[in-house]
Amino acid sequence: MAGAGAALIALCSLASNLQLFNNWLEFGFGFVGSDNITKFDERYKDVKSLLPRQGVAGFITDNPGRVEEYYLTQYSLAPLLLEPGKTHEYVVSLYQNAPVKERPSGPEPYTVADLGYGTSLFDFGNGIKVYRTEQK
Amino acid sequence: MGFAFVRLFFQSGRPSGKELGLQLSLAVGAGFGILSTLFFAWLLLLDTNGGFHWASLVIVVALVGIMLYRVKTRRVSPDTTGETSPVRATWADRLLSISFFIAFLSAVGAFIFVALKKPHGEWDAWASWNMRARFLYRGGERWSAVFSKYLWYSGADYPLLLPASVAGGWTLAGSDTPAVPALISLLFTFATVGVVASSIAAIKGTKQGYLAGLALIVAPSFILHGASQYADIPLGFFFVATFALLHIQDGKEGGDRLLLLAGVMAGLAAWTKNEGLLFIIAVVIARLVVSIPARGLRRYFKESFTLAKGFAPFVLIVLFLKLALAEPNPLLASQQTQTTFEKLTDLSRHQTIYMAFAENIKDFGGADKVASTWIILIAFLALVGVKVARMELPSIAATALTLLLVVAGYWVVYLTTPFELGWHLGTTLGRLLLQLWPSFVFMLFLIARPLDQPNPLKEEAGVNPEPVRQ
Repeated sequence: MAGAGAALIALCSLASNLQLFNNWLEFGFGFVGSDNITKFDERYKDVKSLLPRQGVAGFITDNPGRVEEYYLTQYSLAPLLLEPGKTHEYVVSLYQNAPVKERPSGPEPYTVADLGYGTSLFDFGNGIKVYRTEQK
Repeated sequence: MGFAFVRLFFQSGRPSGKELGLQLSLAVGAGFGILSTLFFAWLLLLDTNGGFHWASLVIVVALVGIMLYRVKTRRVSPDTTGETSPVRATWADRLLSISFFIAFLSAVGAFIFVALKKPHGEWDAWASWNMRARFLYRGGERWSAVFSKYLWYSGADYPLLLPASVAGGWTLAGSDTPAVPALISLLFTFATVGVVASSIAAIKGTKQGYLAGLALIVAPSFILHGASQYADIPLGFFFVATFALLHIQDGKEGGDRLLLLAGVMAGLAAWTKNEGLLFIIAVVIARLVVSIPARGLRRYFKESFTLAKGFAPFVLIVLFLKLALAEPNPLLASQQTQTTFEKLTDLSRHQTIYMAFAENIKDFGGADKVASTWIILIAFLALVGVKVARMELPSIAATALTLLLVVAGYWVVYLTTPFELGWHLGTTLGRLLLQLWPSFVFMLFLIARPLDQPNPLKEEAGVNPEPVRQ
């Protein structure tokens, strides 16, 4: 009887873990680096060079109901803090529904537009834009 | 670093294989406990992570030096006994050990593939733990922005064992690669298996150790949650490490070093998540209830003082963090006397919580499990029988009571939560049960009859007991 108990635990655990391994096994490693978080993180790679490393920036999005985008952007831009809204010198805007353009061909990874009133718009072409308003 | 630290608490001299397995497993938690505490202290004192390499090198050299010095002292008997006479392995024994290693390696393989596909972990990992690690690592002299009000959603008052371990690891590695938090999670997950298996092996015999390890990983959710890079698996590690050390210490005559190490493990639980503070309170109360009739009040106070010497430094660090650095915890800050009383006495809330517990316990193990986890364990216990040595009863009772008190604490937290109750239960209860799962398995195998011992019920029925192998 004790042997049966041991066999029960051993067999169930073996089956469970072999099944788990089989469920997650994938041949070829093309999936490495293609998860959503890594891709999201990489979108901000060039943006970080424009923004201050620390302090607080604003954040706006065309999908304010999805807090995930705010949290992910905060994760990518840490240690720069983000606050939803437009009241800071730098405001990061994420437009998930914007068409993706080619990376600008110039030396900088963005195009710049002067919006007047001391505000410049930096467009990275991947749905991410940064507004910078000169502080008086 | 962790191994050298843990060795200080065990008898000097060569450990048995089982004891070495336990020490190596405990070393994972101790190592990250030391790394994270040292890193946090470094940031507090110097406002930079520059030069941290040298500090950790000094600590490692010092600890290894002390360990090597103690190795040269005369050999003494190990702290645990388990099987005292050599046992010739049968084919069934070999099959059991092979099963364990195949299941273990399959679990490791699954974990690695999950980590490769989700290198940043699941939601709480990137929204809280690893995000805070980025603040600690990248923040420079503004590292304390990790406690900013803008990060209220990430648990700004949460203890820092995991983020500081990740940030410390990045500092030593020289880059914030996702491999570091994934590796930390892997080590904690499988060190938990190591603590359960090796402590049961040391207490009840090698075969029971293998079975305990197999029982722990019979639930796929344990492995998958480990790979999610949440803090629940590390917390569960420190819970079961505390119980294992307390049990081994309670079975020894004389000495209290393992009690001190158990206190350290409990303290590191508090340094990992807020539930760790509840755990310490539960351990102290449970041992009070059990110890007074079993061992007397004087011995209880002596033991509690030793335990407190272990956890006090970490509790003080956590309290300093909460009182001096972080924003107030929303669960506590939102409490008002009248509202809290109304919630505590609202029967419909009790019912909702009860139903959630029942459903989560019934479905425990995850969607990938081969059969109901509870049916497997109940069937196992029914087949092998129960045997509790009289001298182990107080320790087992204290473990059970501690777990009950922790569950009671979770119940009160849910009752009084300022969040929508259904949402709070749905997003956290499964994880809380996973925190307790290794301790539950440990306790189960303390009461299960070891395979080599005959079942008296079978003897009464006239069935030949299994022979005791020499």
